[in-house]
Amino acid sequence: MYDAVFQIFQSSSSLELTIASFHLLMELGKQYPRVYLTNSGSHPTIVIVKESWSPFLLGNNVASGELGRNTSRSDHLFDSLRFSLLTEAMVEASNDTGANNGLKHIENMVLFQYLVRTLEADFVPRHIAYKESLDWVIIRESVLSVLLGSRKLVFKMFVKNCISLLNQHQREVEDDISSKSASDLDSSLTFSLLEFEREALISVKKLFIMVINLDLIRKEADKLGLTSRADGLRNPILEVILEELTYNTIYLSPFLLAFTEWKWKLQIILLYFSRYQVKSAVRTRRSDNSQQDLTVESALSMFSTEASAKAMVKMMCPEVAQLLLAHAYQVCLSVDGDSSEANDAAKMMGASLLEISCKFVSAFQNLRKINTNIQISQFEKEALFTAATLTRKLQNE
Amino acid sequence: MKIDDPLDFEGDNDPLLTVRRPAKRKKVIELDDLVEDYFNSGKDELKASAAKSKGRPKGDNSDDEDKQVRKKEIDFCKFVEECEEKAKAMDPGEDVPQWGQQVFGCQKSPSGLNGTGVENCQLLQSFCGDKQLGFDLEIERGEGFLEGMLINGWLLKLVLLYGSVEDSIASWVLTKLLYSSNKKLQDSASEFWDSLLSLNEDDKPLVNFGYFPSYSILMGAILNYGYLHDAPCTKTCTSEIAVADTSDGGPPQNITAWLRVVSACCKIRKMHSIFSPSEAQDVLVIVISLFLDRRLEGLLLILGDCLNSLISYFNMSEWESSCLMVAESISKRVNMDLNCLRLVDCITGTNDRTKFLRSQLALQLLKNSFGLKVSMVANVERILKSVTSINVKEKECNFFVLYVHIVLMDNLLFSSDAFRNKTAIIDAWRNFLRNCSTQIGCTDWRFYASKVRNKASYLLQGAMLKRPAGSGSIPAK
Repeated sequence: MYDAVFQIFQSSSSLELTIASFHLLMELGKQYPRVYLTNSGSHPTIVIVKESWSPFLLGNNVASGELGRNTSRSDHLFDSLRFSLLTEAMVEASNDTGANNGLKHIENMVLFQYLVRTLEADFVPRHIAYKESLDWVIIRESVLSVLLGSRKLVFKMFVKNCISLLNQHQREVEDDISSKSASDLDSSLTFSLLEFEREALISVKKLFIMVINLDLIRKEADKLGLTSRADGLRNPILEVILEELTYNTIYLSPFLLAFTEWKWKLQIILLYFSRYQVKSAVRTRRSDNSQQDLTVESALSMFSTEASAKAMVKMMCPEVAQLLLAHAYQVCLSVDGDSSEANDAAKMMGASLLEISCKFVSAFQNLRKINTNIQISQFEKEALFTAATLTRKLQNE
Repeated sequence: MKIDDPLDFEGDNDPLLTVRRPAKRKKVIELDDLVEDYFNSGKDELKASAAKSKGRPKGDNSDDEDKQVRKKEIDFCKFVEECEEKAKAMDPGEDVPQWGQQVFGCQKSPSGLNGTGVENCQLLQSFCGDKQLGFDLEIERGEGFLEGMLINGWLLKLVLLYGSVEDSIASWVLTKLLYSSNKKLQDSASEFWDSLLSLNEDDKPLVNFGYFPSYSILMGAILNYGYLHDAPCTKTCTSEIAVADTSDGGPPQNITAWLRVVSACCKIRKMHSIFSPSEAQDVLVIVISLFLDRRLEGLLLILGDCLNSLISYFNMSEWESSCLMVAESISKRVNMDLNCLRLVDCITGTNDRTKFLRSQLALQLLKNSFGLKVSMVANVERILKSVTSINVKEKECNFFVLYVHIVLMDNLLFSSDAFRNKTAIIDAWRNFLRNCSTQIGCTDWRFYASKVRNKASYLLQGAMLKRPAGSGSIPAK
């Protein structure tokens, strides 16, 4: 029955059908999860219902005794290749705005949303179980890991597509409901379109965060020597994102605006800065940890004097530096509100909010000393306003 | 999955059965074409073509023969046409309108949105660092500057760090949420209010604020969007305005934000009730009626979320009576056609409260349909009697109404557990369903008859499973 609904979902001819089948699949997924945790005693144990249906058809599934099945029957299921094709199709569809295939586009976005939801439902309980048991196998067998581990999926391209999806959305909203058609059907489509784009965007973000977590766990497992060659090699997503953003600086601003998860956003920004960090000879630490040690405070210190700021600007474009600083500052503000991970946050910030606010303002002033015709974007102006307001408030306390 | 296999196999065979019909039809159309050819083209041409195709020898009497054949053809065509017309008259199935009601009429332009005075707020006024900073931040743009702060998330960050927010800013954000045409601004504003109205783990608000969205503001907004307050099929909106309305974008653009802020309002009930029970009922009625707007069908999930938040907003003690009120006022709004089935469908019934609402709504709809009043269990029996009194063998039987009744009745009886142990009622119902599924012949061409038959046999299966003697569990597939 899942199969049938999923087929209807993909080949539906009306918005109503798409939404209804999506809704049904979501509810079914909630009621009868494939992977869930049971609280037996003190710690949760993971239960995996292997025979229950999944929209993904991955390597090991095929291998494990589905020979009797006609291949045509599983055509509609997703493997790694189709998953990446889906993201490609989404990028293409949002590229040409005047296209008439609005319904298909919506369908793809809803489909993507559903698939990410499925991945999440599979990954999150495994993640929780992993924290308890540190058992790499649990994670290795997760759908996400298998999906991305496949050679059929070119991971770099995949991430690239996802990033451009994030950007597309930003741009489209700026255009602000540009194409409105008069006919009734179309208006209902364009109306829903924005909503689905928002949802799809959230899904992309979720996916990124999951992959980052996956990478993190993998690194831990590597250290413990639990991984084997069979697990395959894949570049960590953070590196891929960073590379993409370095070479396409136009993507930088929309990406940072769209990607709101503070911890990893800050990580990305700091990694970006760390490339330009002047390594002093006094510091002798293992190369492994060098990236981790950079804090917002030390990043701001790079701009603390006119001379050092000048040195930085020589290496990186001043607009990029300003943008990154402003975003890093914004992350610091949200970090402060998040009490659950205060420890991590303090480590990454390296100073109190007041100090950082002051340093942030002076960094911009230093940049201005270098170039009096400095162009400051709206976002940065707002950042400066916030910093100045906060400084005054915190000083008065 | 194995269970599916025979079914699928049948499914594969099915096309063979359906293929035949079009084939027949094709023949008919061919005859039509021939006649048309005859009327269009001249006599000679037809002769020629006939000669070519059949290679018939051209004798002296061939003209007469041809005439006879043609006459037969024409007669036959007429006969077929008549048959088709009759069939159409018998089965006007495509004439049933799909669900969908006009929920929104003409949008009014909101009044008094300009000059909110937000530029005089403390936050901007007390800022004097312009000269110290040495940057021109363009704060004098006032509202425009604040909009940027809101969109880029700085405003929310500041408010969370301050732990308080000025009333003037809070109300300004709400106005933007409800009336701004900038989608990004709407989104940020909903996010802003969503955070304001959230409680932390200790059920304390994250931010101190004295300004809450009120029932009157939210109602004012939805009325401004053109929500039609009373009754189906109102034509208060003249056609001219309606035309002007569709040209500026159809459904109200801020409805998503509106739904989100309503959901958010429900979250903070523990600390502050924004709606009184009767106000919450009104809002619930509105949200449910939005399910009927075809233009909003893409928002199904958001509507569902909002519905669930509102339903859980009520206290235990308030819920039952409120639910009755809501069901009653909705049943007055909606027509007894596919619309009411759509509504019953959209109330998902994933928890006890929604199940109860669903069965109550079905009850109210049936009551209205039969013109009954008040009181619960006795009424159900009477309704059941009224529904089951229909004789499907009668010629005038209105199968469409029967279809609606059957579906509603099923929802009434099986959505909640209230009737699960009333064996008399359940048995009577099952008997009726059995009658429906057996007494309507599969060749019954009457309008909706086959649908009633299929639905009845489908529901009968469900009713068997839900017998009180059984485990009571509904199978997954």
